[in-house]
Amino acid sequence: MLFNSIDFAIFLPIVFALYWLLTRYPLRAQNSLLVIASYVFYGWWDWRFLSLILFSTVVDYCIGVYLNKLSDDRKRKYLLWTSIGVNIGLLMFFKYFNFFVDNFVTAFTFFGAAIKPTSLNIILPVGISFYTFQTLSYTIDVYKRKLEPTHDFIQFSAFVSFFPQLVAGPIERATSLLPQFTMKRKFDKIQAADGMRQILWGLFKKIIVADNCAKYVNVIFENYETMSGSSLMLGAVLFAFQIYGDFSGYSDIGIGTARLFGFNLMQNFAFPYFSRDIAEFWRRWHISLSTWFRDYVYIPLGGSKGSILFQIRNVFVIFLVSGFWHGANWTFIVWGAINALLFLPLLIGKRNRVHKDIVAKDSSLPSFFDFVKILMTFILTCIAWVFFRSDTISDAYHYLAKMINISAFDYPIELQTYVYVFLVFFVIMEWLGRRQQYAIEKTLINYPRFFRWSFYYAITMIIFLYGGETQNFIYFQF
Amino acid sequence: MRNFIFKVILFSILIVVSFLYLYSKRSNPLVDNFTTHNNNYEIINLGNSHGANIKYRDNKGKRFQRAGNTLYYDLQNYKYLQEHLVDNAMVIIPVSYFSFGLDENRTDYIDPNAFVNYYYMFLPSSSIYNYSFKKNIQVYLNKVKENYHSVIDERFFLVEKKVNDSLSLEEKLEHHAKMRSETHKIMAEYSDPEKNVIYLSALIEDIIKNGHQPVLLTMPYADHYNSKFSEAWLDEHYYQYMNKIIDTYQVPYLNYSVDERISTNDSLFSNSDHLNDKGRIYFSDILFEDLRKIQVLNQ
Repeated sequence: MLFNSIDFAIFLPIVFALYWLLTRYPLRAQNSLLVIASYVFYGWWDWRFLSLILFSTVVDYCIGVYLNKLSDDRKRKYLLWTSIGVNIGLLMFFKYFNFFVDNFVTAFTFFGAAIKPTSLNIILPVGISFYTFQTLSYTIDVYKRKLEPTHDFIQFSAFVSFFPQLVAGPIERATSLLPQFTMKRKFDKIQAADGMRQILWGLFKKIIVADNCAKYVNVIFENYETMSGSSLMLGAVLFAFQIYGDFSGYSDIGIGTARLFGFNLMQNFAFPYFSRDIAEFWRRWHISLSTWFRDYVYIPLGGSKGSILFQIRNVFVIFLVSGFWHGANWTFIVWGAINALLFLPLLIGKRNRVHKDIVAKDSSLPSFFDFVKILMTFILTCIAWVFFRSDTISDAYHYLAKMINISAFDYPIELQTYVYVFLVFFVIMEWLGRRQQYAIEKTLINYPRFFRWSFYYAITMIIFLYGGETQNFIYFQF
Repeated sequence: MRNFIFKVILFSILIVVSFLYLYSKRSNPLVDNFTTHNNNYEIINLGNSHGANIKYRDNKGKRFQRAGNTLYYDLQNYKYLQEHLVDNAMVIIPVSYFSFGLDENRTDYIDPNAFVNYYYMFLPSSSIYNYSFKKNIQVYLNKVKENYHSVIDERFFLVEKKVNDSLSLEEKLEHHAKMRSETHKIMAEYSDPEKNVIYLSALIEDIIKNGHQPVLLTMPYADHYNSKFSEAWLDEHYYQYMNKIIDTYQVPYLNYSVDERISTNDSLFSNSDHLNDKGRIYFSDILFEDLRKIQVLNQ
């Protein structure tokens, strides 16, 4: 079920009403409802893949329980690797099987050996990369004894399948989300109103920003050979907006929805395009995935300790794995490698943690140098995005090469004026709200009620009247 | 909680009222054509955009064609309209080269809003192929959106498209014919023709059963357009099915597709497969005269 669909608009109020009607019953009733609702939400897309979630849930629930009981380190390690094997195995099969087969064939052909490959027609289950990582975090944390395993299967099922973040994150840590299923939830109208606001802003990002950019991005990337350099530049910039609006919009809707049910999910995007270097960008972009990799891959590898070569290796590992996580295509791996290359000078110069706070924290505008840094970081990010968006590395290379010629000074393809208007409005709102969890969290809080309601009304009408053609969320494919 | 729900409902009402206002702001002439009837008709025509070639001189006749229309919806439209026809009324069914390949489910070869979606606005749900409640809501929301954009947006945002007038009429028709014929061939080869034969047969049977007179018609096309279809192609995708129907039901059939009085005269066409105003009047005079000749039209 898509967040931006009529189905969800009907589904959400029904689940919300039932959920809060169950407050007088034991907590298990609310958790059970969440499990049922989450399975309906997921099954709406393809009910057959519910078995995968159920399988993952049962395996990790049992392993969690046994990990706690056992004291023999060898056996505990064996259980941990079983969980990792099952989860990563599912991911590898559904997401990467054909990629590996194709590449083996290519490699064998290169060395003169002809083999007949068996490629399978595998459908990628929506959100598999997200929920497998979430359950893995549970097993690893239980193994490390950072978390007591739950003995309540319903609670654990609700944690794994919680519909607001099931298919595209944020990838929640068991230490943060699981305890919330054990506590009695009370309706908090401030939290619920905040949730509604965040859903509204998420829908704006998705439907107005991302979907409107998508129609031009698709045309430009699919016909890049015939486009002027200026159009290609525009395409790269619009894709930067599209992917941010799409993914952070989904996160906002997910986080806002969770708030309606009394849950707090982690912030997944913290205004990444206002970053002053790539290191800051990666602290602000897809935070739940970056911190997952940091905690479960980067730090166990040694992190930033050890020799400089060791550190470089770790950085490359983390960015390449992150790229590969996004999809079974070399373009994602190159995208990860480019980000690693952009990150390395900062690491070597020990400047990767210079910008910890948001830009212009105590002023309304950035300094000139900060502005230039933001612009440079954005340009570098856009270049990397070209690899992310292109079908092949060759396409991305030619796209970038075609950008740099005299046609870069031509008029780019014509966009409808309202697209520019809404993009400028979006950037302004994001800038004004950059110190908050999301752009309109508190920006309007001190304004009179009439003004606030007018603003929300205008945003809602804009979403309906200027929404681009419905596109799937990009991150669903990951 | 009560306060929160009250505010959400209030806000939703505000949005719904705005939608209703926008919805009522502008009616859709295409839908109005099917829903507004001043009297009972003696003659009507169904069909796709080619049906617009017929021009009725008085309000005894009316056009009920729809762009890209399928034979399935010709049948449904007739069922919807039959109560507005006088006894013995004539029902002209224009059938185009691509008609037997059309699919009642497919909407992607033309703007979906111009086609099936509008049927949600007046046909009963039982007449809609694969009716979906979700789509029904979407159709109404699209109407709100469309009304808003037509009323307000055009003034501020939309730039008029420049028309290339440098081409001669002949060149324009030739260019158009090339483009259209390719699209029409794709449409003709898309779906199962036998299914459309069944729909057309059901339509003819219904018309006869209700005491009305069916007339099959192939519209006039410019030579530019006709020349893009080989005889073999037309036999395979069009005439074999038309002949089958005519043989079965013995209904009058008038074929103007290559009528030299019209198809060789470029000045009668607005594009390669549609007549302009002058062409419509000229063709309609010929049509009604021929209908009188074969004694299916009395006056």
